[in-house]
Formats: sequence, C-alpha cells, structure tokens
Amino acid sequence: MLKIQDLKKVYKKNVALQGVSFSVESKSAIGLIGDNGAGKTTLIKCISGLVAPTSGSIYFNDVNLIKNPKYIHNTVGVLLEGARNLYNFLTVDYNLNYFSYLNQLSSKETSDRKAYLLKLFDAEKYKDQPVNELSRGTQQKIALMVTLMKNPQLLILDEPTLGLDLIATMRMTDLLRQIIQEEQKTVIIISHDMTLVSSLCDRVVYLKNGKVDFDEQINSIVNENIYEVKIKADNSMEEKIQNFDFPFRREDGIYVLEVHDMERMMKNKLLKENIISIEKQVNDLAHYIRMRSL
Amino acid sequence: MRRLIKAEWTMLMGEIKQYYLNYIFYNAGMVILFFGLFYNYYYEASDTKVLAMLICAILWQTCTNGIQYLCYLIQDEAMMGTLEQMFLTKTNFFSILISKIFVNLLFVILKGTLLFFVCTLLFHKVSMLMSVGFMKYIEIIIIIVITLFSFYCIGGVFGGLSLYYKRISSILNVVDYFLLMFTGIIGDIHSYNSFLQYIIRILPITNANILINGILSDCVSLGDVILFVVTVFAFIVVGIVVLNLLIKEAKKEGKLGQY
Repeated sequence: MLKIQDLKKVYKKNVALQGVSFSVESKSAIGLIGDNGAGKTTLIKCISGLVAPTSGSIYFNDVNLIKNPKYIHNTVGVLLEGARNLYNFLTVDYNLNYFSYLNQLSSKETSDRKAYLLKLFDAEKYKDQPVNELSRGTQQKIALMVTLMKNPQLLILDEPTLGLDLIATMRMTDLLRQIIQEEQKTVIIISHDMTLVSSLCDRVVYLKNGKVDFDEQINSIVNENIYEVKIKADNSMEEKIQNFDFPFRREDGIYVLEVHDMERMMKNKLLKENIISIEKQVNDLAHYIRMRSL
Repeated sequence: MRRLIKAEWTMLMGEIKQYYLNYIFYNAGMVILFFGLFYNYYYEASDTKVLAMLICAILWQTCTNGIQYLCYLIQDEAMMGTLEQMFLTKTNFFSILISKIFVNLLFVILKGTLLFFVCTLLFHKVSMLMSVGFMKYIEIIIIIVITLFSFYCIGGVFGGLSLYYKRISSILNVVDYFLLMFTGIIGDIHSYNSFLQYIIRILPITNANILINGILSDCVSLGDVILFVVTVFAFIVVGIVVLNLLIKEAKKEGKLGQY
C-alpha cells in the first residue's frame, strides 16, 4: 500500500504541494488528474525520489520512501512525461540491456524479462532498430518496456499517451490494461485523457492548487443519471436553486442546472413550472470534472 | 562494475557510430592543432623539449576533455530525459558516473597515444622516442592517468553547475584557454609573475607538467611530487563533494528534469 501523508513541497517562489494526503491500495490503479500546474508531476517526482519534499511522509509497503531511497529504486518504476526515457541513438535491444545493467538484473533475469516483454508488446521486430527510427507510439511502448524491465511493484505513468495518435492511444490503453491485469501492480496514472483514466483506474484523485480537491471511486461518479435542466431565470428563484445543492450556472436569461435527483427537483412546483428543457447527459469522468470546476 | 563498464563501452561505440561525422572532425581538429604545435617547435627545440611539449599538449587536450566530460554528459542526459532515469535505477548515480569516466578515460588515452605516435612518426622523430627509457614512459603514463582522473572529478563542479545554468560551455572555454596558456604547456612557468605562479600551482596539470619535464630531464624534486599528490587529491575531493551538494540542491529545487 502506498500512503502519502500531509506532503508539502515549496519551491523558492511557489508552493507546489500544500499538504497532500491519500493512499493507494496494493494492486489497484488510480488516476491522478488536475489542471496544469496543480502539482501532479511534483507529487510523482516526490514519490520517486527525484524531488525532495519540504515536509510530510510517503510510505510504500510500510517503508518510509523519503528515508529509504534504495527501496524506491528496488520497487518503483516511473515512465516520465514525453519522449524522454531512452537513448535515441541506441537500438531497442541495447536500451533494454543497458537499463537492466543499471538495475542490476542478472543475465538470465534480463533475457527472460526481455523475451516476455518483447512478446507482450509485440516488439520483437523493432529489437535491432535505433529508437530514433521508430514512430512516436512505438518509442513510448519501448520506454514503457524499459520501465517494466525491473518488474517494479509500483508503476507510475506520467502522461503515457501524450502525443500519440488515436490508434496508438488505443493500443497503449490495451497494453496498459493487460499489464495491470497480468502483472498485478500498484499503478498511478497521470493523464489529461479521461477515457484512459476511466478505463484503467478504479479511483481518481483530483489535485487543485497543490491540494486534493476530491478523491472518488470512478464507479460512483460515472454511473449516475445526470440531466441538464434549463429553467427561466428569475432572481427570486436563485435562493431556491441554491438550496438544491445542484451545480448550476446562469447564462442568457436562463439557469442551467446539473440535476442528479430529478424526482426531488420535480417536487418543487415553482421550478417545475419554469422548466424550458431537460436533456440527459453523458456522465463520464470529463463531465464530472467539468461540473465540479464550475 | 565489470558489466557496467562493458555497457558503457558499448554505449560509447553506439554513440560514435551514430555521430561519426562529428567525431571524425573533432579529432581532425585535434590532429591539426598538434601538427601545428609540433611543426612550430620542430626546428627550434631539442628532442627532449619537443617530446615534453608534445606530451604536455596531449595532457592539456585530455584534461580539457576530462573537465568538460561530466558537464556535457549531464547536459546531454538532462536533455534526453535519461538523467532522471539514471537516478531511478538501483545503481548509485556516482557508480554510473565512475564507470562512464573510466570508459571515457580509456578511450581518451587510446586516442592520445595514437596521436602521439602519429606525430612522432610523421615528423621522423623516432630517435626522440627512443631517447627516453621505458620506465620513464610508465611514470609519465601514471602521472597522466592520475591528473586526468582528478580533472574528470573537478568536472563534477561544472556538471553540477550545468544542472542549474543548463548551458555553461562558455565557462569551460575560459578554463580550457587558461589551462593552455598558463600552465606551462606552451610557455615557461618561471616567466610568469609570482602571483600567477602561485595560482597555477594549485592546478594538478601544472604540477604534472613540471613532473613530466622533470622526468624527461632527470630532475624530479620531492616537493613537486608532494604538491602534485596534494592538488590531485584536493581536486578529486572538491569535485565529488560539490557535485553531491549540487545534486541535493537540484533535487530540492526540482531541477533534475529541467532543460
């Protein structure tokens, strides 16, 4: 289990994390999402020991990672953002071998793991090609293979589909699903791709201004029935609408409400009489986040 | 460590293969520089003096390579994003650097030796080569390797600075030219003013030059040997300590992945 407690990171001029706390159960996958500059990358760099936190603690399997950086190297694998994890002038095979040496895998471990991953990723054909001759999607696949070579217990993926086209994104999503299922790892995925997060993760942690804004099970937020209800605007109704605790906005003489309990709303006669239209919404993760941020 | 060194050697060969044109012209530039130096000294100086100048010039070239090595390595790795990956592996970062230094040092010495023989053979100075005993060459090689290692280590300071300032090649240019002009490679140390003489004696390359000249002319003093050892030791310690401190600071400020 990964446990982050009251983690703070203050750079010279800005506060990146202000008391982040959450935990991740073993063998589960969470999505870490948030606006640009919310502190996601700083958070995963603190977990992986690349950035020293100002205060707070990070435990993985009850081991304090801040005090035991060696444990990070043994158990944590990180795929960093962008095409930046490989030696581009070297072949795929050499990249895999080189990082195996650095991770102190024996020759047998290296060849076994390499054979398994090349098969899993269907990458045997690229083995002897230099990385810079491969497509962006294939490079990302190879970077993921390098990260997986040491068979980490905790896998952190920062924007694994960034810059990939639709087909490459779908392939990468399938691959990640397969890895999560077959290798039973604890996974943290940072992504702005909500489809990816919804399809791979059990839970989502949303960071806002360096704090956890919400931490929810994905099932609980995407399966509700949500309706967009438009109501004629009238200043006397504002207070009533606020009492419902449904997110709403006012635009061009109407109120637009996001209603998840239609029965309750219909009991209010005044509101019912002023309804202009009701539309069922596709309530996916992206929609949920959009409504939360209104 | 053996596997790591083997891995680094293969990596170096892969890099040369990929960027061979750049390597060819870099080394061609060196050959022209040495031919030029050699050619200008060839007519005016004694065999021993020419030999000392040639060895010291190769020492200068290898030392500047050494001082630049960690800086450019860290810059390149940061740019490729592999610097952070190195910190995420089970091998200690300094062990990785040591293995990279070892491989580069070996490669540089091979190149230097080749250059040395090409120069002497091309200018028909075989007699000059033979005038020095085998043991003296061994002593000179030991001095060169130790000096070089200290320069690779002090390069850690510039490597650490490159984490902060990203591009610092202009600082390295200043260092390179200072080393060429004021450490006795193309001039006589005793002709400098006394303040400059004190300053340059804190550099292992100056002391190495004095020792090499001393070995070739059979007048090595114990004081020079001690000063050489002390300055080498100081460079190694300062380089490692400062790089370590700058890496810690870079981790605090989250600069490892920035380029």
